[in-house]
Amino acid sequence: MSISMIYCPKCGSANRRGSRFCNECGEPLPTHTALRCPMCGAMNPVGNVYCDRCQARLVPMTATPPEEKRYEPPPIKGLSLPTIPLEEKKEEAPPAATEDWLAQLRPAAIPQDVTREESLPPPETGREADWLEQLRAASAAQETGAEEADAWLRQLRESIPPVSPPLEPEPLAPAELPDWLRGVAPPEAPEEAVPTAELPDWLRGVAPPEAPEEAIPTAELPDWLRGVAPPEAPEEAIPTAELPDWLREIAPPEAPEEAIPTAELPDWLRGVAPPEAPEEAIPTAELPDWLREIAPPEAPEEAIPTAELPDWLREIAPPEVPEEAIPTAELPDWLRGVAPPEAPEEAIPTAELPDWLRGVAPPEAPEEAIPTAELPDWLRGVAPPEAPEEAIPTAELPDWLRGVAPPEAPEEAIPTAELPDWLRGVAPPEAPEEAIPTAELPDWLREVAPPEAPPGPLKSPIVPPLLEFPSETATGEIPDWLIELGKEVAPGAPAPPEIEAGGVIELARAEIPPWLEAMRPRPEAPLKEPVETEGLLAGLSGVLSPVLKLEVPAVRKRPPAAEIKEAPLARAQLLQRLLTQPIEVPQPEVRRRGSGLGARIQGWLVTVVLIVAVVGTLLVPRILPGTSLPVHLDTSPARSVYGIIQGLSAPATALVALEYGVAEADEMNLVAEPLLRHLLRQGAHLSIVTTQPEGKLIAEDMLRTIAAPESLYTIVEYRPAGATGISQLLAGAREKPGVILLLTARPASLRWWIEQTQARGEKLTLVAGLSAALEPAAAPYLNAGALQAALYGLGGAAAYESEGGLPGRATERLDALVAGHLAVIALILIGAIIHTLAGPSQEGRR
Amino acid sequence: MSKLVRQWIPFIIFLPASIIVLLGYLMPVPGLLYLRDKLVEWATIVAAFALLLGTFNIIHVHVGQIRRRSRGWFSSFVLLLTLLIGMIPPLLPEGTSLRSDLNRAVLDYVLRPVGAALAALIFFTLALAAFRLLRTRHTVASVLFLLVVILVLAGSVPLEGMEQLTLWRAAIIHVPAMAGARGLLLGVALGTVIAALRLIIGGERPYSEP
Repeated sequence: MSISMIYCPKCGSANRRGSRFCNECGEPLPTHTALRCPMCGAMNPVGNVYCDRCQARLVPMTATPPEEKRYEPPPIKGLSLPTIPLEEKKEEAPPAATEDWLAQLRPAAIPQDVTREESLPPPETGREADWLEQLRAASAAQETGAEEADAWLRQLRESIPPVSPPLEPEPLAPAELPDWLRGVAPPEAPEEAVPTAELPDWLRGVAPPEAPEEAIPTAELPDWLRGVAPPEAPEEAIPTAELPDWLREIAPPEAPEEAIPTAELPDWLRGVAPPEAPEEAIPTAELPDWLREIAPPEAPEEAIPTAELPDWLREIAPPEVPEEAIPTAELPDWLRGVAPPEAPEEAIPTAELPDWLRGVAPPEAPEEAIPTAELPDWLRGVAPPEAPEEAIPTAELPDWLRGVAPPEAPEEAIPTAELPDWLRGVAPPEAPEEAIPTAELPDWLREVAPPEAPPGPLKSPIVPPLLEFPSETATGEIPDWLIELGKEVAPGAPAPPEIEAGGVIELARAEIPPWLEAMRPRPEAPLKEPVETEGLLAGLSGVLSPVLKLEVPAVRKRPPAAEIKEAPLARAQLLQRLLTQPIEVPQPEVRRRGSGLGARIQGWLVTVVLIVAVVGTLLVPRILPGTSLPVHLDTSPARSVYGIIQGLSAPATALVALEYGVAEADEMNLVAEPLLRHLLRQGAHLSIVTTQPEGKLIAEDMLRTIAAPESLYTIVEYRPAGATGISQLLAGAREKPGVILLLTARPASLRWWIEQTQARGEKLTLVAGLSAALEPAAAPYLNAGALQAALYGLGGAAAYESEGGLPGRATERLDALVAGHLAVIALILIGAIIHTLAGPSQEGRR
Repeated sequence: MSKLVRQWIPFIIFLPASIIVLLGYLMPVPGLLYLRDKLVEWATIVAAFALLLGTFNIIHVHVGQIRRRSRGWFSSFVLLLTLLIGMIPPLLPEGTSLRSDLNRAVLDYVLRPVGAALAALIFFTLALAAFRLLRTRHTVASVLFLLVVILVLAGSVPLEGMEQLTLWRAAIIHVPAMAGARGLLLGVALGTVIAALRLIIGGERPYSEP
């Protein structure tokens, strides 16, 4: 909708803004058809709330009562920080509607008094700040909404119970753990850490760090563990001299002087010298073969001579002295497989290897691979697959290796009786039937002994021991620590049986904690996928079917049939019936007023009476000439007018104002004719003026009727603008008229002429020929002297004709006029009598 | 700029003109009289132009109705046809018989019969209303009204022997009627003065756009 156009409610046509009437149909247009914007002054349609040009608010917002208003602190938007603490702001008075929004945006550094003094003057009118108020209201609403959001969030948080931490499996007390697992006990129970003194020697080094004070005294540690002191007790760190060779490299640097002397190291550790004391590094000659590779390069000459290395370490000689590699014959069985590749010719002869190392042949020399029969049981699984036929016979395996049969030759598994005590529980998984009986297992292995009854996935995988240690039976030298290990028992646990040479230690069945059980890998049943049989993908399994699931139309299941009860069904049927039936609205009986038979009779009666009275009176003189009604005329008004006109002397000028239209022409012409005739008879020059558009025509007709000579009259052109035109006419008159004859049937024209003639300040004679209806309106002017004389209606004209002896049509029409009057009087009386006797009608009673 | 043109310029023109004409009537100073007469003459010219503008507006409205075939479009057609016919005689040379004959014909056969019919219709309607007045209203005012109508009608052109009715009629006209007429005239005069003052001081601006 255009801003400058408004639409008519009747025809819908567009009209210019501010129009009062429609240009098409003339329908009055409603006022206030446009809203003026207080900001830019643009006109907007009435229904607009915001200006189309400047987006200012046009409709004022409803203001809340002052007592209901509460001060809202300015909202914190974005990253802006509040300039003034909220406590201080609450004490302030509510800001004015004009300038405080600026003060709120100012930084806190600016003092408030200064900012207020320097602030701009408020806007002029409240209407212009409507858009500001709207913005503040919107921001307050946002803050309120944010506060509301925070409130419900707060409530939500309070309603939600605190989430309990996830349950963790209760770890087993360290006392329940097997010895070899105590080192990997969960850290959640550091207080449950087993005192270091209780740990076996080989685990003391991996004791939990939370209890450094419980570290086993170094003297109690076995030789091979003496170097593995807990790192949290550096003050307790074993001197470098005490560390075994293989641990000397990883000994804490803070106490290099604490290294264990090489002489104290067990044979198999002597090759591992700590790197922090390169000066203490074992000469390369001293290192075992298997350690010579990893011996510190700074002192290759410090390698331990091969002869000093234990059997099981002799193969792991440092590579820097490959010539010092232990011959394969000298390597223990279990290390023969890991002989240094650089010197495969140095493999220790098998006979010289301890029983537990005899199965470990160096991998680089597959031709030198120890036959499977020669391998200990626990190494048979890692025996090189290239020579499965080289398995070591079970009889030759040391006791502690007899339980570890190679997987490639499950039939070669060492019988449980031949396995060392510490390996009897670690049976190969491929031969579950070869599980070592629990009674034969040592106590410390009984915990990890595979379960005898349940086959399959319940079997624990073979857990390689953390550290390999030789078997006494193989070499005849059971280390002390192993013996002690057999003797050490957990508190409350049955004492391990005495390890006898060639005896079988029955291992106690270990209780696997739940958390450990959960970590057990579950063997999954292999998925049998269909094998593709055709196409390019023939022979492959797991190929997707080319037919997409989406292309297969889903089989829709029909929903179950709803149970419809009788009552709702009846209501639904009723509703349907009501909707389908046509609506019959009872029409109120409308009776037009007067539309009955009586009203028609009355109308016809009035019509007939009036026609008979008027027409008959006009026709009777023609039929019966000389007959007329005896009428009494009032000649006094006519006598006054006659006298004024009679007083004019030639050459007088009469200004005749013809101010009636065609509708009044029938009566006014009869009034004007005798007056004009009289003026013409007096020799006055007529100047005929009019402010009516049709006045000129009427004047011409009048003059033609009275056969006035054209030299005696002048018809002045039409003058518009009512009173202004009259004023101009009077002002433009070249000479003062002798008389002004006003001929009018309209009260406005009578007033204008009288006012304008009086306003001229000149003494003007004004006489009027008026309609009978203007007699009451003209009486005040006559009494005031503004109007000198007046002639009223047909009666006055007839009296003027009779007074002046001027023949005219007024006298002929007078009888018809009287008859008409009498007819109306009769009808009034008859109607009054009838209706008085009949009583008031229903409309009258309402 | 638009506000200046729509509101302030008309007010600037109206204010001095109205004051000069008013003072010209109050103080017949020759200079003021001259200005007053000139302004009145110009106003007459503007009024004549407004009449012409109104004529064109009527033509536009009724042509639109004829074009849209809206309700009463035939009446609009007759109106425009009559307007065209009535515009012919004034366009003819002055003094020609054709012009006078056409004017007379229009007046005698169109305007006058129509006027007479309207007047007769008014007379008949008033008579019927007077006849049925007591049918709907049985009040003193209705009876009094009817008595006054009878007296005025009978006394305007009384029959012989009913001259007394003339006196009664004169008494009614010169006492209550004239009092009422005076009151109306005074009210009109006061309202005219107040409206003029409001226009002069700018309280109402019918000449400017909102």
